[in-house]
Amino acid sequence: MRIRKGMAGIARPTIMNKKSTVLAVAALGALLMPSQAHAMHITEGILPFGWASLWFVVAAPFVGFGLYKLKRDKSVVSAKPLLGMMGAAVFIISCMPIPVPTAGTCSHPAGTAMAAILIGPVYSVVAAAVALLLQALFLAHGGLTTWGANVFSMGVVGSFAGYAVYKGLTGLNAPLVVAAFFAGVIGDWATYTATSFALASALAGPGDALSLFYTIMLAFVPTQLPLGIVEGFITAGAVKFLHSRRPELFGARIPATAE
Amino acid sequence: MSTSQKIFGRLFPKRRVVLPFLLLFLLFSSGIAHAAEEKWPGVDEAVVGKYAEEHGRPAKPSLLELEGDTLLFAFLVAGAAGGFVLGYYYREFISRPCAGSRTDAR
Repeated sequence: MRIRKGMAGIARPTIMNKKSTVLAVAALGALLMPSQAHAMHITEGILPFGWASLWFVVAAPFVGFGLYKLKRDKSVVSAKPLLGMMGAAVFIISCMPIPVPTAGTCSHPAGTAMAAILIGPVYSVVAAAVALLLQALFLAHGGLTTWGANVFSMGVVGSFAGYAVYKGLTGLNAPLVVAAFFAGVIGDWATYTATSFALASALAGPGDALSLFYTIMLAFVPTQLPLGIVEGFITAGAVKFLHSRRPELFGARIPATAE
Repeated sequence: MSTSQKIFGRLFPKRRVVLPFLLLFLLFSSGIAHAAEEKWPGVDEAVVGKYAEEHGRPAKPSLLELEGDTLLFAFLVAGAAGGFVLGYYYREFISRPCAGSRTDAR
């Protein structure tokens, strides 16, 4: 990528290469595709009280630690625009149903792998928790009783799985776009694997949980297999685009900005 | 360029990355999608709801029950508000000059 130093010593791209332009435009196109509104998180009332409570307990430390870090971490103030941007992106992406022709159904990407790459998995969990709460309250998307399970699958598993893949691949000197692509794909698939696990464990009896887990996971495959690939492209496009604008972001989890 | 970068470069040359992406994009475009099927249930109905009902745990109405076009209205407001916040912070993020120093929030 060709860059030049601006008057204030800011690195700015002079020409966005063709690939990044195509990726950015296509990612935007995928984001703006019209479709019917359907919820895909675990819906209100599906989990029995005991299981719903258990998932609250499992998700709470991750959300609590993220909120604690948000309050204590002084660099968060300078990174506010990026945190706000990722919070809004996770909210929009995770309630955006995309039609999948191979399955004849709609489903949504999670966006948490992308957020985890850009702001770190701890803050990505908080962004997902806030997004899921707003969706459950105002959009009939997910549910308040199933909030814990949804935070665990989309926020915790999606963020940490995507981030682990990204760090692993960049550690192997993989190009940024390739690492982001696979982080998006694995983050999405891991989210729905966790959803299958949460559903199967709550719905099945002690002996049937494993077989129901495989059954639900297989039922997700026709929709989530292609959608995971789409999420990979969205993640790669967003990361490539932001890298072309602010390359220093990828040297640190949260960039320092001049006050 | 390191050996691993060369290997990744061979595995994922530009054309091989961009072309499948464009094909997927066309495949998922709304025109083709609507021609293939008329009804597009969410996986909440097709998968989650189906297995939940089979096991005697049907979905319950949400706290704020949205009926008719109010759901469309809610999604429109959420999309507009989310888009505004995203755009606002994107503008602020891009326009802020970088001091050149790095801070790791870990």
